[in-house]
Amino acid sequence: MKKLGLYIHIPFCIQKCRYCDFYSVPTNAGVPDEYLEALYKHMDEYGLQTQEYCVDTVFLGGGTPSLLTEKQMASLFKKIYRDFNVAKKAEITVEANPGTIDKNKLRAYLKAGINRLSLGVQSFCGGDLGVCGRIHGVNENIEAFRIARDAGFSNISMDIMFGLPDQTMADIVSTLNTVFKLSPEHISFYGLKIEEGTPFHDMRDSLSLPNEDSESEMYFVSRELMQQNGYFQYEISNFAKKNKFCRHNVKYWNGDEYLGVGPAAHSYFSGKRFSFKRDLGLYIDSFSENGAQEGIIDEMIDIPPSARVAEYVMLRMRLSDGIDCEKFHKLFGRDFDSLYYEKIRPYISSGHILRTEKGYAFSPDGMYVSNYILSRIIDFDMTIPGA
Amino acid sequence: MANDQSRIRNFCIIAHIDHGKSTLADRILELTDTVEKREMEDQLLDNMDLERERGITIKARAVKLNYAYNGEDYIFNLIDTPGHVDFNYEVSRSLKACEGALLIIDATQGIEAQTMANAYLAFDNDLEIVPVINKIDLPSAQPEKVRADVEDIIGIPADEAPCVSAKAGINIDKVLEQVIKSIPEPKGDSTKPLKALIFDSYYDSYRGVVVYIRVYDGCVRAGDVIKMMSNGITYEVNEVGYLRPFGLAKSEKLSAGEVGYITAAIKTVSDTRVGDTVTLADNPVAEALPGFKQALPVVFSGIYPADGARYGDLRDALEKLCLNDASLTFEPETSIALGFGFRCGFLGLLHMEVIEERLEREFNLDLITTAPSVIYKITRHDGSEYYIDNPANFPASDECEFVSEPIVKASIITPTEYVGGIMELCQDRRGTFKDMKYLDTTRAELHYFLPLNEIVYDFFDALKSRSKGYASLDYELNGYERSSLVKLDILLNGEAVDALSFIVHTEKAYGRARRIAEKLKDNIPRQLFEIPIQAAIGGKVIARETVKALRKDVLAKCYGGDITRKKKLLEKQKEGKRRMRSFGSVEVPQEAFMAVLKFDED
Repeated sequence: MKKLGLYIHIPFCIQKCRYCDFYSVPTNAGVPDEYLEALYKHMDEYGLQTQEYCVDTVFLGGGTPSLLTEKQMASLFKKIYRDFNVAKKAEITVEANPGTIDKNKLRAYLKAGINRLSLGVQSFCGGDLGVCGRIHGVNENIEAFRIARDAGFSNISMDIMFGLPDQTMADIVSTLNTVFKLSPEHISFYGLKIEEGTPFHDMRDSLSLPNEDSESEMYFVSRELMQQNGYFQYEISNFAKKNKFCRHNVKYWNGDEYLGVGPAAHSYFSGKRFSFKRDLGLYIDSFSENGAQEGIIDEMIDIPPSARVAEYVMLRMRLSDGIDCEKFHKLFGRDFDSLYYEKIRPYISSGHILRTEKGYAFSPDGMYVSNYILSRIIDFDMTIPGA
Repeated sequence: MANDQSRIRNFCIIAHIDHGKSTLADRILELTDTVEKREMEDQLLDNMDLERERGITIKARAVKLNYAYNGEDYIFNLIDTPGHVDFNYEVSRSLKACEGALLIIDATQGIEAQTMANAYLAFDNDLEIVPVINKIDLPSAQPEKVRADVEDIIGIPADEAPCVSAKAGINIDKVLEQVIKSIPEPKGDSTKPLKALIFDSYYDSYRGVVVYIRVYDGCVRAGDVIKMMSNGITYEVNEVGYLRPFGLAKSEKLSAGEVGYITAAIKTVSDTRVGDTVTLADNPVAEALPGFKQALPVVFSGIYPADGARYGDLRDALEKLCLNDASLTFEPETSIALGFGFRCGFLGLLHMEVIEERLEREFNLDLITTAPSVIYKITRHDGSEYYIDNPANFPASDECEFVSEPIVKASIITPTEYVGGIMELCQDRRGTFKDMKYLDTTRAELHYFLPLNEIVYDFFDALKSRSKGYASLDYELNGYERSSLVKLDILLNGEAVDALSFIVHTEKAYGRARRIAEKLKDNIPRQLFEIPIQAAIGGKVIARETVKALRKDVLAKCYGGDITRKKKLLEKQKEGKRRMRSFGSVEVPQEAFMAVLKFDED
């Protein structure tokens, strides 16, 4: 049976964080049931299209999915299990923000089928959290983690951000030390990027941001610390204890198929990449009783097999495993070296790309300048006849 | 009727830039009912987009208009002239075709450098000058002061000068009345041999070159065999006619006093030089009209396609532009850094900018241009001389006796409060002060001798910046002077980039070297390795900067599987890379070339 990832977007937040450009709308009243109804209708359709698929990862992202009440979560998962063939050992992740959870809620989540929690703690320095406009403080972060453990979650990830305004190297080291003490299974370690349309973008001239050199120093020092503390880097921004990598996210980097529901959700299915418009009202209308789904697609791009190679290289190279030449050959019927060796050679001799047992991967330095290198070796117009 | 010269008025409009020349031309066109209002597009005479955007006239245009005054029908031939110092020669030829000139003065700005320069040109060509005071609708207008200035400074009577607003259409009829009353009728003789002046031409892919002429004596008809007096080439005339606002209107003949066009299957505009005299091959006039000269380029720059594969397109584009622009020259040039391109010659900086913009816009080319250079005179040890216009050919110090550079005589008109700053600027640009006179209590005219080399390097921008945009500049070439010049080379990662070399005065070499190294540092993006930037004279490094190695270029987060976004980002980056040139292992963006040319006072 073919494997499938399922992504469910919950586009509601108590308050928008100043750096965030993900699609969500502020709410005081939790997640409206009419939104869930729309999701259900959408999932019914997908359920019919995926009869021959086995869903082995589910990811509830946001927004703030932990705004869903115990009851809503139970009903959502009932729906998921009814519409899709969910694998027994599926990885089922929910993003949860400190300040929106308590032990009862998390117990209910666990009961609904969720087995992995991604906590948006972002930092363990109060100053950082204030600057970002988070609704929680350091103590709530620690509390949230304890509650999650107590509730029975044995697979917890933490989102940590670096390169924040006024953040120092000492701040980030202190945050990481707290993380190590709490010992989650997984760390997503993201550098702040100022995105258009966010409050940070509007105030960018008055923000004191680390420059390129100090930001990369933060990254490399942190990377080293995480490795020393048993977190293996498996992707540019992701670190995990043994075997605890996020299987859902790895699908993205593997060129595997996934379907997303909700406004702004992205999918890669049946040779097409597509996404829905960032418009909650439109989404709900489209999946209402007499709704029509014309106009809900934001973008739909055909990826013919012949054009998948470049995408595959771009995505796989994010992983510390990099490219496995044998697998590459199996997928595309072509020799990786014959297609790419000449292009990557200068970066091998400069040490930015390493030879691995099975193929090629970025060195840590190379990973952090991967856009520069990829933009010089990848050609999205390249097609491989017969692939 | 058309041959009755007493009903013909040939005139042009002259003005400082932005004083409203094209707008007045538009209003005149409206009022003469030649153009219906609804057909009017602003600044009808300025056909090129570029002209419309910049509010300048690059090439001369002419148009025949009908106007009824006191029950009589008049014919006006309005000849528009280029409004910039680079095109002074073309202006003078356009003036030559007229009996009179409307001199427009902005009532808020008063007399400026080009007002004077144009007025003097008109005097030189024996034109009757009719001053017109424009923009009287603006609150800061001082028409009476301007009227007095015209009399005092230019020295022509201005008591009857119409006060108008071309923009608001006020008093335009007064202007036309003055045209009839003050400007003399042409006094040619149609029975004499043909004598006509070429004042403009353009290439049309169906008719060949369309030649704009003013007939002084005689007549010309289709079928006549004409001769260009400068080179003796003869052509059989296909067609003659008048210039109407929306195209050519064929006629039977053109007679003495008239302005119109001829076509004769002429293949290139360089055969129909502005200022040349046209006569009949079998009945030629004894003497050509005086004043013909070939406009020679004084500023040179290397032009390269950003994408080397488009060399052929660039050549085709330059060839096409040359069909219409006899003063543009180009020849193939090879740069180690930039590959194949062309060394192009221009009348001046504006001409250069206009050509570059037209290449980019009309031909959709991405260009890399090298620093503009002037023509240097090299004197060998044996006393013989040669000229170079490319820094690459600059001799080593022991290979020549001395080097000379072109000097211009510059006239700068400025509000008095900026005189100090402008004198400082001229001093800094190695200028020699000649004299200064006060035009009135608020404005002064400065005369300097300046090396052209300093003018082509951002002088105009610096002048504008030091005078809040009020100072105006006019200049003419004034021979060569011996000078202490050196070639400054720029090295990236130890390798000289020939396209970045330029010639500079010894005393300025250090400052320029440092500034250029800094600018390159700011404009060359960080790459995988550290890149040393050096500026050197004959192997001796005098300035150095370093572009640090790239540390971070990564998309950390991919939101919920948004792969498309990452692809787009990489595509954009690839596009950026396409606009870069590789020198050894160093990639240099087009902007870096631009930046070293841009104005940036200290």
